[in-house]
Order: sequence, then structure tokens, then C-alpha cells
Amino acid sequence: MSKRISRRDFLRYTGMGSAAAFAAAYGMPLGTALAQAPPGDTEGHLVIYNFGGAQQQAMYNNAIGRFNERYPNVVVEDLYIPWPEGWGHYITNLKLRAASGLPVDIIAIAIEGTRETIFEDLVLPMDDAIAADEDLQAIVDEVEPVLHDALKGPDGTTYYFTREWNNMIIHYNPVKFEEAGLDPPATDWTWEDFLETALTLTHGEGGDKQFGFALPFFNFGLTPWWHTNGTATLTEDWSDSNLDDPKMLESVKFVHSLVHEHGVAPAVEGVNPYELFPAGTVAMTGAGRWPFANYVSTDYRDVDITPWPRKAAGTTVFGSGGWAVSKSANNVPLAIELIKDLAAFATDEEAVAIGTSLPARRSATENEVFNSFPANAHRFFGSLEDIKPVPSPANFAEVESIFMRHMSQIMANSVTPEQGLEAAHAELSAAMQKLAERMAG
Amino acid sequence: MRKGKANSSRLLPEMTPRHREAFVGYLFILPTYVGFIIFILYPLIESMRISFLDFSILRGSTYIGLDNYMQMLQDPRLRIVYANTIVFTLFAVFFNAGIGLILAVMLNRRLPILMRNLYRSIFFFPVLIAHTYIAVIWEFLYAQDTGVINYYLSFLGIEPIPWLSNVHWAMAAIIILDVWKNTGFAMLVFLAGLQSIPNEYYEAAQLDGANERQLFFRITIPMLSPTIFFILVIFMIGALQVFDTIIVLTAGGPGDATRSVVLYIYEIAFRTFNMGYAAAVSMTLFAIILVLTACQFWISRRWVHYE
Amino acid sequence: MQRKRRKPIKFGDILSFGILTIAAILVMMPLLWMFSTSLRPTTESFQLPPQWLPTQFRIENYIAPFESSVPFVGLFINSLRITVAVTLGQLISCSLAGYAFARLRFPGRELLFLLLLASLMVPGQVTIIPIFLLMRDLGLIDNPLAIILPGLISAFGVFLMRQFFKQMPQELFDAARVDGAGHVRSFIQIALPLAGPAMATLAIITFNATWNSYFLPLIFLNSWHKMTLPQGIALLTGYMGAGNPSVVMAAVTMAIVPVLIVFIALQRWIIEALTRSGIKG
Repeated sequence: MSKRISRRDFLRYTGMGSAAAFAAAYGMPLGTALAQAPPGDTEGHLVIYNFGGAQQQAMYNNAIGRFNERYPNVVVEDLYIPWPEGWGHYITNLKLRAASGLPVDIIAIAIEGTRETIFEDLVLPMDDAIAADEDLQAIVDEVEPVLHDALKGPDGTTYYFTREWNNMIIHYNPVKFEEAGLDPPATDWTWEDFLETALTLTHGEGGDKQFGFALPFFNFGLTPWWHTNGTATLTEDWSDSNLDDPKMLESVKFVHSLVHEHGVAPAVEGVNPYELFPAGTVAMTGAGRWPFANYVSTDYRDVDITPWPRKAAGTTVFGSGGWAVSKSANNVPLAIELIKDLAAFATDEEAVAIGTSLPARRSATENEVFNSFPANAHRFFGSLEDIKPVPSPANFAEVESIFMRHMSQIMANSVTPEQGLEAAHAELSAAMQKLAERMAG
Repeated sequence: MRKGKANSSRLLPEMTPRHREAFVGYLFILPTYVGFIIFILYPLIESMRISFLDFSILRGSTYIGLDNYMQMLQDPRLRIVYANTIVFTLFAVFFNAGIGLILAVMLNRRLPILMRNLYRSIFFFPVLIAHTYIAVIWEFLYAQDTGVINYYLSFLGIEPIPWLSNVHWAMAAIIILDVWKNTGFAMLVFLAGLQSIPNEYYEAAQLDGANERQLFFRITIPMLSPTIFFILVIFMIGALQVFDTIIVLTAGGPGDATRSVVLYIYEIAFRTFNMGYAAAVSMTLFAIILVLTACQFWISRRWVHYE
Repeated sequence: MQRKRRKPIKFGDILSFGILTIAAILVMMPLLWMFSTSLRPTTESFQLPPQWLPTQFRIENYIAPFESSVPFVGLFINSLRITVAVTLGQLISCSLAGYAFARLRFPGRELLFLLLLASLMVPGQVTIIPIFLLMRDLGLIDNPLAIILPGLISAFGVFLMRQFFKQMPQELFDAARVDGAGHVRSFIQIALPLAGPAMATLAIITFNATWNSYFLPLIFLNSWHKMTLPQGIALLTGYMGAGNPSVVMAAVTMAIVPVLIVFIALQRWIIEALTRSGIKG
């Protein structure tokens, strides 16, 4: 049989969706197969598996509009999955689609889910494509390296192009500080300073009760308390439980004491800090930039940001999201062209304007819109100097649910921090062991 | 008589009346049964098959026999979630049915017609609002330090109640929310039942000098027994599968204090992606509900009164 | 027509009126708060003491959902189409099967009924995977039929109708039999006209459940011109819950209106059906 590419073969390979398979079968370097952008009159249908709130949806629609100016004959469908069900649901739905052979060309996911999609072989490696395509290389170069690197596979392969990110930073109400005769918090403040400030800001009874702080009680929101003490729930390489670290115990005890010993934060169950903070019930809370979408749309202005208080370290936490080409994409070069528009500078600029998650490029923040509100907006990107990603192994959804279940028992005082962490450590170790077996087998 | 016979013999082949009755019976249940077999029975059998697998959507599944079932014996959390589910079921069924019945009986008394319509609508109103939406409201009611209920209780000198952050109170909070949400449905069904009791029965009993209490226990309850039975069965089956009320309010916490069996199943399936084990657990739940419902039907023969 | 003599008002009537009034106020308060919150900025909503009554009338909150990227009008039509189809389908299939199980004798009746009833006991969270794969094989992913078809039948509805038909006096059917009515005619001319209250109950329950259904559409309907209203509202709640709660509550308030209309409409019909049937006395 000759090695001539028959039309049927061509259709089969591209139809099956793998430019990689196509390139490999005919001895072509993958980069070459990808480097040639499809002509502008290309016809096609691309499906994006995407997530977020309504405002971001409008932003991505605009990106698709820019793509359609270049490729008017390509129909782009944005499967925009409402956020509230969390990563477990989002990934299961994606897997169901993949297992069913339903079309998905581009996958958007946050760091919490990237390893799972890589492990389940749902996304294509992009290193060759980046090497062969200046535009892609430029996108990678413009993004902060720490954000890009966090989305890589365990072996350092790039699958994802950065979509957005958030850190955890203290949101405080300058008016409440002034009322209490406090100076704005110092950028290198310590846990002790923080506690003292929170105590001063906690006063009143009944309807006048004000708390110093509202504790963000979810995995990502708690992580800065571990990072600023030089520790984390998992070991550095995210392969095993680190909950037996005495520093974890110290951090958990401190978090616990904020509610139960010092009473500077309301009990966590049933409390949404991002409702209490604008209502003036609390003077400080912690978040990334995501609540600013609501602050901006409701014209709420009494907020500024300052770095997380430190104990042993000044390290806070971040999570980034990315775009990847799905393994089942039916036209990989075309999907890559769409990613160029989705991950474009224009999208970043729009994200800045609506106040949602932080843009991938620092350059998009060097303007009046970003820096006028909050006053110290530069501290968002400033935090990148000392930051670590939220531990996100391939079994993230499981890790999160184990840890938060025990953490909620600790905060409910039904177990002591010691007992709670011990039990969580045993369960988490077993889960990580299982993951290792899954990866090996 | 002759006309009817002629009519049906044109439609149907020669049949004895008994056969004709059976034929019509099968015909009537046919639409339901077609749907039942495709969308319930088949997926159920498929789930049963999955319970014997180490199931993975993408990487193929392997047959592992009874391993998933053996795993249940060593799962301490399974015992907790079953205990929670039973506690919830007992209280939720009792209060939903009890309060629903009391409301219905009171609404069925002398009342301006406008008020009856208004109150009936109000009590039924919470049924109409999806669980997903009411979480925001109820968290604001229940929050320990920043919530509405504790705010008002403080005027009575009552210390803040840890509604959602104490293992016992959290279950109480779930049950209260569930009753607020669902008792209106019981009320509506009871009301329909009450209104179909012929007034003559009461009038006859009153002529015999029966007082209100006697009327209630000798006429209302027996005449309403099929409705009561219906409500008990439906609420029990629903409560044993409680999911929405819990996931929106406490998500099973603190710890496992309010985690129900179905919530546990959902988390095994969607968080740890262990579909095989999730299927096995749901098979045990299915078996338990089946047995309990069969018991209810069996006991019902002694007290449910059909005309 | 002779007017019935009015019975004297009893103490119990007044007492129950009082209790009902208090209960109604308690039940309504959370919803009242939701409604008044939908009319003011969020910043004023989570304060203590709570503001039960509207303090402002920010109609913007009601306009905002339509100005967002969420195509609410389209979602509304999608939801309505699915909900009406499911409700009508269940009214037909459940009344037929309920009548058969209650009033007709055929071999295996009890067994078939219990088997059907057993399906109520299958938690939907687990059969979802097999159903998804089935829908894929039928080519119905991202098609409203994936929600409608399984919704056309209901073991609960059959149970409800069966209980109701069972309660009907046998004499009615005996009389019809003497008049020469067959089973089909007895069902259509005698049982159905009297089944108003049960049908209305089933209709409101089904309409409500389908209208509010969230998890099924979330899995089966992924593209925006197919999605339903609860998915749109979920999108308004925003990434990490960063949406504007006042706007979400305005959207929820608007989403409740159709169900409320159906309920109020049917409520009148229940009474009418009862009065006409002469059962009430």
C-alpha cells in the first residue's frame, strides 16, 4: 500500500479529531501541522465547554465576535455552564460528554480541574504548537510565568493558556477603620496585628453588632492561613497529605480562635462574607477580585485591599484558569485560532472593566480603570511576588470535600483541632494513596 | 344494554366481560408502562450492573464482584448517614403530615371564602419556590451571629443558637426548613380529601349528639385514611431520599451531621467519581425503601378505609 | 332552591382563624423579605434588624436580568414548552393508569402497581448516568425531549390518581354499568369529570416540579438556546457567588409568577369541580 494520503484517510484522521494522530501517521512534525492557520473562508463548527457568571459570558461572546470577523463561516457554540455546582459536577458533565462522543473543541477550566483533565487525557499538549506559532508564543510570554506554570501538567507540559486568575487578599472597609481611629493596615502586618485590629473593629450588640472579620470558609479562602505559615494541606508536590504538619495545627487553631476564642468573626455556617461585607456587618474579609463585579455593578465603594497578614511567611494563594484544545477537537488549528481570541488582550481589558477575576496579563491592568478602584489595586499583581497555587491534584474534588468536612467539624466544636486534623490526615492519606495507585495503574 | 354491547363488540374482538375489563386495564396502563420500562426499569438494572463494577466513564470498567458491597461493611460514614436519614425521615414525615393535617382541618372550618383561598395559597406558596433559591433567605435567618432568628430571640434573653454549626441544631434547622417548604403540599392534599367527605355523615352524627372531637376521630380520620396513607407513603419515600433541602443549607455539615444517604451517594459519584460504590449504596437504599413501603402497604390494610 | 340555614359561629372557628393568621404571617415572612430585597440595593438587605417590607423600589433590579447576556425571554419560552408538555402528558398517562389500578380488575394488577411504585424509590442521582447514555444513544442530548420524554409518566401521579379513583363511591359506576356504559365510557364520562381536584393537584405539582427542575436540564441541555429558566438564574448568581443577590431575587420573583398563576387558576377550578360534582354537599 502506498503512503499517499487518500481523501478518506484525511477525513478519518481529521474527523476523528486528532491533528496529532494525523501528523504522527504521516511523519510530519506536529508543529508544522499546526502552524498553518486555516484560511479565512474555512467553514466549521466549534464548541467551547465554558463556565462562569453572566458578566463573563458577555465578555467571551465578544471574543467569539472578534473570531468571527476573521472566520465568518465558523459557527461557535459556547456551552456556558452555570457556576454554582462546583468543579465535581462540571468535570463529571465534561467526562460524560467526552465519553458520549459529543463534540467539545475547547475546554475552559480552573486549576482545580486541570490535572484531572490531563490525567483523563481530555486535552491536547500544546508545546509543539507554541514553538511553531508566534502568536501563541506571544500569549504565553505576556502572561505572568507563575500563572502559566501552575496550569502545566506534572511533567511540565503545557496544555492550557491562561484565562484569568484570583488570589486571596484582605478586603477592608476604610470608613470603618477611620471610625475606629485605625490607620490602614500595614502591608507587612502579622497575624497578631490582624487580631488586634479585628478586636478593635468588633463591637456593639444586636442590630449594631459589628465584626472585625468574616472568615471565607471554603478551601481556597482558607489556604492563605496555611501559606502565610509556610505550610499547606498537601505536600509540595501535591502527592500526599501534609495535615500532620504542626504548622497546620497552629494555623487551624488560629482560624478557630478567631471565631471561638476572640469572637472577632461570626460563626461560619450560613454566612456569606460577600453579603455581610457590603452590608457593613463586618469590617474585613478576604477574597480575590471576583466580588468587585458586584461592588462595581451596585456602586459600592467602601473597600480597599491589603496583603494577607503573615506568620512565618508572606505567601498568599492563587488559582488560575485556562483554555485548552480538547482531544476530540475536529479542527485543531481552527480551535487554536479561537483560543487566540478568547485569551486575547482585549478579553483581559474587558475583564478589568467589569470587575471580575484578574486578567492574565499585568499589562491589562496598567490603566486608570483598574487602578482607580480599589485605591490599592496594584496590590493584586503585587501579591505575585510571593505566591503559591492552591494545591490541585487530579483528585481535587475529593481532597476538598475530605478537608472541608473535617474543618467544619472543628469549627462546629464537635472535635478539637487536634482530633479533627488527625482524622482528616488519615482519610486524606488514604485518598492520596488511591490516587497514586490510579496514576500508576 | 344492547347498545353498549354492540359498541364494544365493534371495537374489540369477541371477549367475555372479564377479558374485556382486563384488556382495557392493560391498555390504560400501557403508556405509563412503556415509559416506566425505558426510563426507570432499564436505568435501574443498568445501575445494578454498575454496582458490580469498578466503574469509570472514560477508562473502561472492570468487574469486581461484590467488592463494592463489601466496602459498605467497613464504611463508618455509611452508618452515620443512614442514622441521619432515619432521624430526618421520622421528624419530617411526622411534622409535615401533622401540621399539614391541622392546617387543612382548620381551613376546612367556617372561614370567609376569601380568607380560605388566601391562606391556602400562602401555605402552599413555599412549595412553589425551588430549593436552590431559598438558601440565601434561610441562611440569613439561621446564621448564628448575624442571623434574623437569633436577633429576635435575643430580645427574649435567649443566647444565640448555633442553628447551622452545632451537630444537633443543624438537623433541627433542616427539618424546620423542610416543614416550611413542604407541609403546604400535605395541606392541599388533605384539604382535597376533607372536602370530598360527604356532609351528610357529619349531619347524621350530629343528630346522634356527637361532639367535635368524636366527629373528628370517628368520621374525619377514617374517611380521610386513604389520603393520610397516601401522604405518609409519599413523604416517607421523599424523606428517605432527601437531598435538595440539605445540599442548599448545610451541604451535609458540620462534618457529617446532616448528611443524608442520597447526598452521600451524590458525593461519591460526583466528587470522588466512584460510580460503582455509589450505585451499590443506592441499591441498599432502594432495598430499604422498598421493604419499608411494602410494610406500610401491609399495615395499611388494617386501618385504611376505602369506600 | 332552598337556602341552607347558617350554623352559628363557634369559638373553635375564631380560634382556628387566629392560629391560621399567625401561621400565615410566619410562613410569608421569609418570602416577603425576598421580595423586598429584590427591590433595594443588596448593601441594605443583610442588616439587622431585617427590613421585612420594601424600603425602596429599585425597578432596575427587575430590568437587569434582561440586560444581562442571559437570554431570559428565550429561556422562559423553553421552560414553558417543556413544562406544559410534561404536565399534559402526565395528566393523561397518570389518570389512565390510576383508573386502571383503582377500578379495573386484571391479572397481575397488584404486582404491576407495586413494581411501578417501587420506581419512586430509585434515587435520581444514580440513574442519571445510565439515562444520559441512553439519551445519547437516542440522539437526544441537548434536545428538550431528553427532559420531556422521561417526564411524561410519573409513578407518583399514578399513585395520586389511584387513591382518588379508589375513593369514588362504587354506586356511581354500578349505575353507569346498568345504563350500558363500557369501561372506557365510565372512565371518560363518570370518573374524569369527578377527578378535578386530583387532576388539579397533580397538575400543580408536576408543573411546579418541572418548572423548577434544575439538575436534569443542567446535564442534558448545554446550549443556550435550549436551556431553561433555573439555569439562567444560576448564571446570574455569578462566579463564586459574586452576582448581585438583589438581581437574583428579582429574577426568582419573576420566575415564580407563572407557577403562581397556574396555582391560582387551578385553585378556583378545584372548588368549581367540587361544587359541580355535588360531592361537597
